[in-house]
Parts: sequence; C-alpha cells; structure tokens
Amino acid sequence: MTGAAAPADGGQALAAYARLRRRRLLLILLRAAAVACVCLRAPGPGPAGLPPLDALGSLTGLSTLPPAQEVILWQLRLPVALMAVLVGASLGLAGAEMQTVLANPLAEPFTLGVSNAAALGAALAIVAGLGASWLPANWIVAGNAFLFAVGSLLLIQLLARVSDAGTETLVLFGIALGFTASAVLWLVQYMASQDALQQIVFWSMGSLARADWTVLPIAAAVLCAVAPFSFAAAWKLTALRLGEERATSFGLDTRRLRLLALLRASLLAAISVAFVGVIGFVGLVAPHVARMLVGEDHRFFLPASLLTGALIVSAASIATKLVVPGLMIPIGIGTALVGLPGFVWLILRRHRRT
Amino acid sequence: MEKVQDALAVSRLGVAYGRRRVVHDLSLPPIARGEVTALIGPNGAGKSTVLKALARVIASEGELRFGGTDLRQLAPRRRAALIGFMPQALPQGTELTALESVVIALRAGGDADGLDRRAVAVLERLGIVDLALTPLDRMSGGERQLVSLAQAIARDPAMLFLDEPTSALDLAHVHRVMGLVRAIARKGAAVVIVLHDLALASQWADRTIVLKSARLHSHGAPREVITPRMLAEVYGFAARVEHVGDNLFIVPDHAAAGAARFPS
Repeated sequence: MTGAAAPADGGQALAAYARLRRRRLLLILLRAAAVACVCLRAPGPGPAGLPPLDALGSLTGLSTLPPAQEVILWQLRLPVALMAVLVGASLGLAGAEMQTVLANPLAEPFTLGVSNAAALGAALAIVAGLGASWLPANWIVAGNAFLFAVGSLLLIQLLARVSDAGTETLVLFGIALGFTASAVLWLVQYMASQDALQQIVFWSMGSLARADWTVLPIAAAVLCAVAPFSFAAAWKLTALRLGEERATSFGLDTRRLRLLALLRASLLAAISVAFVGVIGFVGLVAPHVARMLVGEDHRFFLPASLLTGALIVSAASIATKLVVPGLMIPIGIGTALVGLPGFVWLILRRHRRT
Repeated sequence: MEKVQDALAVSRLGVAYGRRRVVHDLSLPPIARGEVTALIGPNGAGKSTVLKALARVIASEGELRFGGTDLRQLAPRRRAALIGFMPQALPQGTELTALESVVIALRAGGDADGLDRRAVAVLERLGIVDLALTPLDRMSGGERQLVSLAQAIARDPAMLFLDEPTSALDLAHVHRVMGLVRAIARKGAAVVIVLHDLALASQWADRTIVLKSARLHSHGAPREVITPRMLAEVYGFAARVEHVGDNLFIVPDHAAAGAARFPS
C-alpha cells in the first residue's frame, strides 16, 4: 500500500502517513459514489424494458414515466435496487467483522454456519406450510430463517464458552454446524413435495425479488442500528489484528469484543438471509477487496468493506438481469459470477506485487 | 526496604490452562524498578507463562503487587497504562503498517493526543522509521520483532515484560535493543525479559531468576547465578563458565556434551 520510497526521517514518515490516509479516504468516497451510480442505474434493466435514462429521470425527479412504468419503477425495481445495496452492505460489514475477530481470512456468515442454518429454518417453514391469518407466509419463512440464524450463533457461543475454546475451535464448530444444517436441509428437500422443493431451491439461491417497501425499512434499520457500534469498535478491532495477547495487554476484553462483533455480524447476516435468501461469496470477498484497497486500519477497512459488499451485490443484480434477456438469474449465482473473476484478478495482482 | 515497596512483588502465583495447572504456588524475589531482570530456564520451564501472568495477559492466582497496588484488582485500562508487553509470537498475515501498529498501541490504551507524532518518535528511537509505512506482512522476522518492541514501549510503561525480544535479530540490533531496554529500566521501569542466551543475560541483566519446571531454582546477580552447577542442575548441560571482563562464555564440556547428543 505504500507505493512510495521509504521515509528517511520522522517528518517524511508523518507526511507520507497523512497522504496515505487521504488516499484511503478518497478511495472510500469513490466507492460510495460508485455504489450510488450503480444503484441509480440498477432499476433500469428488466423485462418491462424501462429506458435507463427515463428511469433515471423519474428517480431524480427530472421527468415522469407513464403511470404503469412509474409503478414498476417505484414499487418493484427501486426496492430491489435498494435491497441490493442494504444486503451487500450488511454482508460486507458482517464478513469484515467476522474475519477480524476470528483471525481467519475465510470467515464469513457461511463459515459459522449462520447462512446454512437460516436456509434450513426457511425450508422447514416452507415444507411445514406454516401460516397464520394475520401474517403472510413469506414473513413466517423469513422469521424462521432469522430465528435459526440467531439460534445457530447462540449455540456456537455456548459451545465455545463451555469448552473454553479459541477462535480456531469456534470456526470448526461453525463449519460442523453448517454441514449439519446442510445435511438436514437436503433431507428436507428429499422429502419435500414438488412445489415446496421448487420454493426451497429458489430461496436457497437468493432472490432480491422478495424486496418491497415493507421489508426494506427493517433491513435499513438493522444496518443503521448495528453499523455505528461496529465503527465505534474500529480501534479495538484493529488492535485485535496485532494478536490476542497484544490486544489483551492493551487492556481490551477480547472475549467481550469478539462476542459483540459476532452478535452484530450474525444479526446483519440473519436479516439479509431472512429477506433475500442465501447470498454467498459477498461476505468473504468484500473484506478481502477492501483490505487490498485501504489496508487494515478498521476506521477505513469497515466502511470500505461495507461499500464493496453493496457494490458487488448491486452490480450482480444488474448482471443477473442482463445476461439472459427476459430471465432474472438468482442473485446468489450472480454475486459469485460477478465477484469471482475480479477477486481472482486482485489476488493475482497482489501476489505479483509482493 | 523502600526499594522492595517500589518493586513488583509476586507471591503464590498459580496459572492453569483449562484444567491443566502449569504454575503452582510460585513466589519470586522482588522485581525492582530501575533494573533489568532476566527470566531464564530450559524449554518448558514456564518462563513465557510466568511472564504472561505477570503482565496480566492470562489469568492467574496469587498476589501481584506493584508499589503497593494490587494489579489483580486494577481496572484493565489502568493496568494497561502501567504495563508494556511483548509476546513471543509476532502478528501474522496483517496489512497493518509499522506506524499504524504503534498508533494503535497508543490509542487502544486510551491515549488520544498527538498519536502519529508520538508513534513516529518511538520508531525513531528504535531506528526503524524507514519501515513506518511498510505492512507487517512484508517485513522480515527481525523487522517485525523491532516493531513489536516499539508497540510494547510506546506508552513508556512502568513495567515492561519482553518475551525473547532479540531471538530474530542480528548482532548489531541485539545490542541496540538491549541497550534501549537497559536505558528504559534506568529511567525507572521494572523490566523483565525472557532470554535463552545466557551470555546476553549476563551482559545486560542486573538480576537473574532461574526457573525449572515452573519452580524457582535460584536468583541473584547473573555472575552468581550462571554457574556450572546451575547449568548441570537446570539444563542438564555440563560446561565451564568463563568470565572475560563483563562478558560470560559458556564452554561445553565436550566429552559430556557429546555423550548427551549421541547417547549409545
């Protein structure tokens, strides 16, 4: 990240550090601008064929569309575009916190089995045909997914506490739980009816189409409630990157720091999975991309990871509508297809540089 | 008496990892301010564990008092302001730069003013300001060790605990670091340093504490403690100890050492 010659004295080091911070801030602002651009562009493409410029005009209030297209834009497309940003941001932030507190570059909501547990919860609700006169079925599916996600985290924390385990064991518990949830999910799918099976498969591939103006505020509220606590813990989380013992010697309660970060991450992941299904890859890749861009000072790293996640899911949501005209490919497939080539390129570039 | 009051007093120290008790009822001689105390002993003697317990990085039983203050009752932040700790393990796989890591050492401990300037000054003290913006991941082991020491001394702690701080350093850096450590002690800090190199301990430490199987074997000035008898009893190593000026040389008894290396 230095890019320049090594500083010869203290003055040069201070100046170079100030430059480095300005560059990181600029990169974050550019990323935020990119998210805004993609988000404004996202409602355009789709089967109803809204002309991109007209859609943009309506969104910015500069022009209006025919009434039918206005409804499509404002009631269907815009919630999807905004949900893509919220879910991507939530998963990006969740992945960043998990990778830091578990000291594991492979950690993400999937690693701790949170996503698999949520998928199982949703599948069980679908198969059981749970419903109530006062609550729509898809809300029950989402609610059950959320309960299973939070339950899986609490179970892992309980196991870790009972066994006095370290971070590696915590990840192993998570992986074991994830596989168990997957196995039960396959069993449920194996026994499910044709209709239920179709719903479960569709659900486990992730779909932004479930987004509407009723669920959007919930996802937004959770992100807005959680993110400030994450940012407030930025110094402590950065200290954890220097090692557990070092952080403890700074007077930090690392166990509490880890527990709270995992709770935040799981809440974000659970909300995302509950509303749009399983979207893999984002929680893993966004932190890596952010780390390569702005380093590991969490004051920069956390917002960069959040914005990178938002960018990946937003870009993927456009790509899924453009790849096969008239067909909207599930977003979970889209994020992997959009994110993977860029991720491989970044890793190769980094290896060449080092 | 006043010196003992001002020292770190350790009595009936106990440490357990889970159900495995590794240190039991260990009392140490007072660790005085203004002095460098070397903690020596063979592999597995419990040096690192005892050091971590003194630095309060791991939980322990027993009494731990510094200048009359019970360290075990002190709030973590206040304790951290008194203690600098350098672990043996160096951070792996982090993109943090040297300067950032020292800024964090200052900030995480609760300091807020002039962090960048103070962090740069610490790097200058160690002669590594050229590494300021290099990520730790791209440094050699020795460079990372110097940065780790910078984090430990950043806040001018009253107690400094260092676990083999020179194991990856070249000759010139070893002497620079040990000189700095002694200077920190002379300014009034109590310094405890785990060392494997007994010649280094003899040259730079004021006092030596010898551990064997997590028990106190002996203590005192290095010249009094590092003797052929101690080497035989603690390390199972037959050797002569020769002093040339301030320096100490351990000359193996070849017949005995050979027999130990190649048992028939």
